[in-house]
Amino acid sequence: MTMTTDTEAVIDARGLTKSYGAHRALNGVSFKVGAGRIVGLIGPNGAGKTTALKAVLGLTAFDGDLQVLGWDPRGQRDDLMSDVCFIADVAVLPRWMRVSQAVDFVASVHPRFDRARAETFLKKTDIRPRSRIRELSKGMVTQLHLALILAINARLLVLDEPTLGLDLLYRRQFYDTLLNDYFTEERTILLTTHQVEEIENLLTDVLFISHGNIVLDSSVEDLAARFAQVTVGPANVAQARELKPFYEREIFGRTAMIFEGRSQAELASLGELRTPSIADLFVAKIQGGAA
Amino acid sequence: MNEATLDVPEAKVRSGVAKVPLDKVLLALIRREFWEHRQLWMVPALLSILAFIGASFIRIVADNTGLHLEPFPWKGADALTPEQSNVGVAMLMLLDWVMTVPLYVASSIVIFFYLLQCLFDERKDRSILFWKSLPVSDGTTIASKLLVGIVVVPLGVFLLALLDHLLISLMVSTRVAVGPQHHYPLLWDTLAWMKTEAFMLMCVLATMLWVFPIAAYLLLVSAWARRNVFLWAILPPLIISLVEKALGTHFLNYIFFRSIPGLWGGWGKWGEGVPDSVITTNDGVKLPYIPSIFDDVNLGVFFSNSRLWIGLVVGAVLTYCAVRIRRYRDDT
Repeated sequence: MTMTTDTEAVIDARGLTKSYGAHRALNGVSFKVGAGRIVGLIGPNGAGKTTALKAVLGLTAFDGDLQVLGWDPRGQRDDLMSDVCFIADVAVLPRWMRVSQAVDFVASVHPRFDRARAETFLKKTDIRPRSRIRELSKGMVTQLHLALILAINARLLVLDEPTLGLDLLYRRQFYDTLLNDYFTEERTILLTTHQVEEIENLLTDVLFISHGNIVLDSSVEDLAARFAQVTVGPANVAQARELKPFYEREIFGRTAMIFEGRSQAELASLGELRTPSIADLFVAKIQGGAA
Repeated sequence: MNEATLDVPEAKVRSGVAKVPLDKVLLALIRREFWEHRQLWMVPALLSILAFIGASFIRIVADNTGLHLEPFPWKGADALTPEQSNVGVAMLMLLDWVMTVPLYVASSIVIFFYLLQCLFDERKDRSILFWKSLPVSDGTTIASKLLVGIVVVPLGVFLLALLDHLLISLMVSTRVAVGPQHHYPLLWDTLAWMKTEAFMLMCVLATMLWVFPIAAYLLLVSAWARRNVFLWAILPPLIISLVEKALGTHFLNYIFFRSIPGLWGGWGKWGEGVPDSVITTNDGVKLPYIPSIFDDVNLGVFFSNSRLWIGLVVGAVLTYCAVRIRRYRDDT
């Protein structure tokens, strides 16, 4: 992953390995995340996304070297957690708690929590301070969790499927708020999601993970130089195949092919050329790689 | 982002660890337990009110055998013999104590289930992932739960009981003083009352130390069991005690279930061997006279008891295991 050389890596993972019984959730995974990046950790179910996040957060034991903000999450988790925030899944906010209690509690234990900021954000929503969390809709719980997180001046935010089960309006609002009110050059966001299309424009980097291995590690800006998608008419298919696309798919009688490491000049004559979307690349890498 | 909220922009790796002082974190955690487990304060509050209401139904009657506090079968406090006035004091203090026994018993049951559920529930509803997203260590979290279970709630219950004892004593002695039985000796004795409460407090403090291994065991079960915490809390000690019965050993009893030497000899052994600690009423009922038992408290014996220290070490080990399990458990 491209990193500016003058910043220390926020996350530096080398050879992360984790097995659950016979199942290998992480298979010697290595990656780096630089400061000020928004990294999507993308993979099918069971690929090891959540395990990787849990390792970063010190929530699970694993083998390998891992430094997060210079700390080892296994032994120095208590220090680490004042600089790291995470939303594992919004359903984890304690259901018995009142909204005001949640704000009070985080304010009293977190050194970097800005109470006024959380309250300002909550005022813009329909959430009442006296409500219990179990009385809120799922979208409101997300807003509350987001309000708590936004008010914490952390350096790394980890989001594991943060918008799962939310409708489109809340999902859109969630990411907009994250970008506009939270993200700065000193902050880093690492997130997983199934809804790749929705976060395409948000990400600066992508990490594709499949069967416990990283299958793609790239900045979004480099994707355009590295990958190209060409929609090829039937006449050119054989010629195009000689350039070894790693994925192809039939669309209305034409074939969309994705190439890696081919110049525009090589491909332009074959058909309609464009940069594949992250979603296309994801499908290509995961399915094409497996086929 | 507003510049003012970026108060630690240069806090680079390792250099800028912001910390909330431990006492503030503990206070917040303890307050949190009372938010979540409202029975921890509601049950003691309710039962202390009921104790007072119950005591107001005591009937004060007198006949030729002396003063009675009905429905209790204690008869005594003869006006004609001044040395009998201790019987009246003993009766009143026993009444105080009996009225608050339900408060202590119910609170103990509430604490038992609290310790057993607290770490289990947070895993069951996955809220542990929220708690763990905050900079609060597993050790601090478990310490807060132990403190709530064996220090904060017991002390609160003691204070409620103290208040009950004061109000009930005042109410009953006032009723005697202004009622038709006013020629009986006054039941109220300030020094005896203070000694009794001091003894109660010592018993509560001593019990905290002695139940520590049990509390730690319950937290361990709560952090560890996948389901059915109650069975895990009850079955292993039961099985071990059965095995011990077969083998003729007493390790479990040695560590977990004991009388408290130096304070009292155990249930039913009120002030055994302590002079004046038992008072016989006019109709031959023996009442404990707690002020005398208090005079006989021997802290040297209490603290030099190896079983106390073994229990504390066992409790510390069990607590450490509970912390480790909460730290590394990965099943959410």
